[in-house]
Amino acid sequence: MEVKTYILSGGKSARMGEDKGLKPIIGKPAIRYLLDTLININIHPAIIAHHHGYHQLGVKVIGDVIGEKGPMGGIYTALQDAGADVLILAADVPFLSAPVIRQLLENREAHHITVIRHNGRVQPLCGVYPVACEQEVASRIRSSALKMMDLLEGFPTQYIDINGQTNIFHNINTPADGILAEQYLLHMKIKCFGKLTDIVQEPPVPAYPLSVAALQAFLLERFPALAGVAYKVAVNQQLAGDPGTIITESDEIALLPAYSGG
Amino acid sequence: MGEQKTKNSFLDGAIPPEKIAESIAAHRHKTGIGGHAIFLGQVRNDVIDGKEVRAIDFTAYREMAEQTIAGIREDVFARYPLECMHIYHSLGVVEAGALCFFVFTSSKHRKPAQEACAELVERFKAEVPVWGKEIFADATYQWKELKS
Repeated sequence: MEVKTYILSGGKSARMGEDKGLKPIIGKPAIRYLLDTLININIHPAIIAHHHGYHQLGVKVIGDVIGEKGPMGGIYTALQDAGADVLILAADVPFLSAPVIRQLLENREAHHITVIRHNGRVQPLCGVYPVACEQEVASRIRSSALKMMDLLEGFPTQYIDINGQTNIFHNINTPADGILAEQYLLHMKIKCFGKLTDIVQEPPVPAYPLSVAALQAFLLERFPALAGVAYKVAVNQQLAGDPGTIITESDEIALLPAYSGG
Repeated sequence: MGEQKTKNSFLDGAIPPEKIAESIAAHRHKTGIGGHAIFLGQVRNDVIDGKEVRAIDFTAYREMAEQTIAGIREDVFARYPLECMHIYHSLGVVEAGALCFFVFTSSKHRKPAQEACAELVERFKAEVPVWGKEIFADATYQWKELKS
């Protein structure tokens, strides 16, 4: 059965003072980072939200079927809308990576909820909720038993353990976190120099991990003009001699055309 | 000299000629030195396709550049008996006629200073991640390419 993807925008956050998913991070609303990751792996999500700001993203937006029921209400809305298994993601975890999303999709089961457990901590809003749990969810909504952890404990659930990779699970819950997110993002962006800055205006973020050769192919596909420029790839400030070198999301990548200093 | 503190080899804008004089003066007390070699790179008004270069805008991959320079320094110090070595390069816009690159070596006898200086110049150009954007009078530009 196919899976449909929904991003829960969450309600207003008192601490943030604005809708978390719309918080600008380096000029883009936070949710845009997640949307771009999904589009890169050919997933077209819908957003469950009420804030009008979400309607300007070029993505389908739906409101909660039953309001004021928190994340469980969002999952219920998704299952109702989809008529299929649903992949649930959260707008305030915008740097979730493509490999993690793929892992969820590959490991899902018809009769289990599948969620990520990151460094031992369960992430209910990072999971696949099958049609099989719809009745359970509906019943909890009716009785306002809205705690997500209770749902996971009361229904067959499998956990995918992911350790480390703290940055991709970064939760932008306070304004200070937004700053950390910016620093992470600046680090994650591929640095371009020299004439490459004319060709690669907006450095894209690839799906890590990948080899240097795969990265170059990824870039060439998006910026065909790169075919005319000889450049080297530096990983953590060392020239990568071997095109098979694997790059992860915590590596600093730079693209260096021929030098012309001195 | 063996200083291990983080070096800052880059200056904003042109290297003022006074800096050359100051650097020389700063060595006055180092009476073991018998010879200095100095190389100065100056922005030249190249004419490309009929357009004259008015300035070069330099950028660098800062952290990697400093690491690379430190590595070159260490290697050159190990191979030549030098008393001192200084390397500076401009960042940002430097107009034609102004200095953008300054290499200064000092040794007891002249040959190591001269040879090390020449080597540093060539190695900097080949190995340090710095790029120059040549800006023409009509505000268009082209990325500089070093002739190999």
